[in-house]
Amino acid sequence: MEFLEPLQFPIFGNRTAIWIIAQFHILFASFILGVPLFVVIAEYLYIRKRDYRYERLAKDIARVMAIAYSLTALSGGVFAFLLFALYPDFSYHILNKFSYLWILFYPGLVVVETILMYLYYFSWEPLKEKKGIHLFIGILLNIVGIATLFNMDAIASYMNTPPRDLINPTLWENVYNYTWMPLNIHRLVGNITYGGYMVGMMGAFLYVWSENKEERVYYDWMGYIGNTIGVGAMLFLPIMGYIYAREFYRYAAELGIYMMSDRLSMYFEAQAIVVGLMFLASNYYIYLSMKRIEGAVRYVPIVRFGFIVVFFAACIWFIPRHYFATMVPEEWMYEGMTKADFLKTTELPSHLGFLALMKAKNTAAVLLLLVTLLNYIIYRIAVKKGRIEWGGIDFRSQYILIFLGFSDIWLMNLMGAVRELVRKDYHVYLLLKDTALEAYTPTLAYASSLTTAITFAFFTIFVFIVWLGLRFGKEKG
Amino acid sequence: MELWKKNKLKLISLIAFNLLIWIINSFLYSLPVVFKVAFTVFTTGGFLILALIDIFPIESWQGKRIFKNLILTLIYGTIFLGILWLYTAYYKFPAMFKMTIIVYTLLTILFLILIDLKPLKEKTGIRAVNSLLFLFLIMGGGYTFMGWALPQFDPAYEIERLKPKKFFIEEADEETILSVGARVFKDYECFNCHDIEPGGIPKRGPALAAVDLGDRKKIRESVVDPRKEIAKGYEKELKTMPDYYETQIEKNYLEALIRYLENIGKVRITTEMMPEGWWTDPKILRDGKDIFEGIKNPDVACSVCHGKDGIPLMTEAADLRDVAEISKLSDADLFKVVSEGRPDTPMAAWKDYLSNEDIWKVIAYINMFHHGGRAEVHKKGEGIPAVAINQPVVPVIPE
Repeated sequence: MEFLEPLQFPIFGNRTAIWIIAQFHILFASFILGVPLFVVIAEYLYIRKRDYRYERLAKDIARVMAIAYSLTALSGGVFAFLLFALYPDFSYHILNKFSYLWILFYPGLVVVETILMYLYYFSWEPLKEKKGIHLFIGILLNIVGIATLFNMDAIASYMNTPPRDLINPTLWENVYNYTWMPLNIHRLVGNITYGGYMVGMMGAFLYVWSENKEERVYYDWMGYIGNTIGVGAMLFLPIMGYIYAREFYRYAAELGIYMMSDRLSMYFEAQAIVVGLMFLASNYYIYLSMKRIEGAVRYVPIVRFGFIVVFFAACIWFIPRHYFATMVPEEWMYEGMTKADFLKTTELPSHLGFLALMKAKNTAAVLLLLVTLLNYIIYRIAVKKGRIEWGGIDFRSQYILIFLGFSDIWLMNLMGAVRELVRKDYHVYLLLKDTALEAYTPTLAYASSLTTAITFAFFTIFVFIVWLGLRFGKEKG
Repeated sequence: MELWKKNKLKLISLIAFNLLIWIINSFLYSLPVVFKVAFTVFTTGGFLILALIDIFPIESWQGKRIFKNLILTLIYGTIFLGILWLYTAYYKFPAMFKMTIIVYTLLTILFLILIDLKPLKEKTGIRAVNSLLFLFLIMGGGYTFMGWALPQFDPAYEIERLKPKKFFIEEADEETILSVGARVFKDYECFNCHDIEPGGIPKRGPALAAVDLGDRKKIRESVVDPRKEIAKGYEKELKTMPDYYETQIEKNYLEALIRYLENIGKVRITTEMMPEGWWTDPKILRDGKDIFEGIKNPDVACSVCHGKDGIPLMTEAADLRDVAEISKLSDADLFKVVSEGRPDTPMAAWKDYLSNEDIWKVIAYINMFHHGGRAEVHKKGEGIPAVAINQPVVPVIPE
């Protein structure tokens, strides 16, 4: 098969161009997958509790979701165009292997999802007396959304772990590869976390923009609900991530080694720092939330003690096997000293090696989860015994919510890059080689700079959407 | 008495929980003692605080407590830092790791001091926008700085490896030629029809070690023009072997394949038995050490998981000092583990990174770990056990 020569993207180069547009697309796509789950749960809670705040919350978020939907389609279109132009051989391979999925299922699901989404959004008022039917449309929307996610996960996971030892795998064998289900679950839980933190962040923005007490009361509550869902789902993410990584080892251990011990190891160190900070921030938010509850002051010592445990666990999670970003040090790293001297200061000796093993990391993860859960339980006890003063939360907490949203997006970007970089210079591991000169693994410095730039750009658009949907549009309306 | 009555149930739960943790983490999911102790310290500490909450009530979040908190946190923090310093010195933590632990501890102290600052004043209008922009700057700047501050690698090393290697047979040594030839044999899947093992099974083509392949010229002819002369007994397979290899395989690589095939009957690099004399050959062991420690090829560094001194450094990595386990394996078993990996474990299949020769070399070196560091012939069921679980074994290669 002869292919057209790939076009060259100006300034950025092909890989960076695809990197940026793919990240944009996935951030919007995750938003319109994670947030509807949140909206439907909020609407259900309204039906059950008849607390109007839930109805308003669901409606507000749905408004933002509708705008984000167009941007998802737009970024998806640009992504597909660029992929065909910059990587024609890979595009041909995927079209060939996932023919029906690509030409039938995926467009079909997107069309059905679009119809359901607009039906759900615009039927809010007409169906306000028939909430059951409206909720049902919302549930259908989520089912189709999840099916779309699983659909695209098939291709993303196939690229890393295509079926082995099969001469002509069928479409289903390509779909149901080693990491498909782990990726599905990891992304699904990740999207709920993301949805929660996004709502928390929306609440924070609107709290900061609020001009009267009534609005602050509502947006304080909105931020609290967002954080609760976000952190609640995040508790499951470490185990989902562990299962996902374990499947890589089961499929081809060299992929796992490349991630955890070789050139991507420092990406995971960055992850350890960000995850530690996110758990700290979530618990600090709970702490600040407790401050607005009468009588909750008695629980201060136990929560403060919890913070010590969080730092301890975050430290254990972070401790690397060695302080160099490759499996064995490159020569330039120990310039001016012997390799042995370099290793003495940068590598854990055998008797301390256990600190870098999974047993240590799992212990740290369990501690983080337990402390967060305990703090939430204490919070609930305090709520039962006292009265919450909504709108009276420390202003600092709103910055914490924005920080959590920012960190979540940043981490999603970085870990998405890891998933793509793990197969080294292959488009499809061991099946289709990436022959471009850009197929090397970039440094963490480069990846983190790009990640920050993408996060900033996404944030700018996101703030604009929130402003347009929930401030400007509303006021004019 | 009242305190006892109130907390009796909590205390019993605490003890039961800790016992459970110790049992689980001793038998089901083994943890080092230091973690088990940490769990107990944290749960007991949490229990004590919960029990004492009512005895020493706290009246307010701020006020005089800020100063008191500051002093107390500094005192406790300094004591704790001192203990940590001694602990890390006693257990000989390398400098970078000592720094990591101290930095995390300092951050904890700082956080605990700052946690009860007065509530932030609410901001509106342009001040709110400014504060948000400042926050974005701090977050983005902080994460980017983190990315730059963590250790880096030089992409040039990988780029160099990714470049298509030019292989010229005139410039290559014998070992490289044979290794490239073996790779060509594998890449073009010749093994689908031709077995190369001694005593191999004839498939659609003859088992190559069992027949006389002739001289170099004859082998070339069999590869590039296979239909010219058909091996006896394979007349029905006249058109089975493709006749386009001369145009498909670059001439240097084709020559390497021919040299490899020429040596099949002589070198006897099989996947069944360690070549004669290699278990104790110092040159082979030195080569094996270079592969084991990632000196020859940084993509293959067995020591990263199995430890330079045999103490495993990765979850589920095999303990190479373990006589009971390693001596169970025959030569062929050992070869298979290194070549194909162990299913459902982190042990990778290294056949795409190592030639058969290199696999045997590294096995020869690995063999020293369960022989107390000495170079000895591997025999099933034999070896010298390490004295203690954490005792390192340093292989000594004979001169």
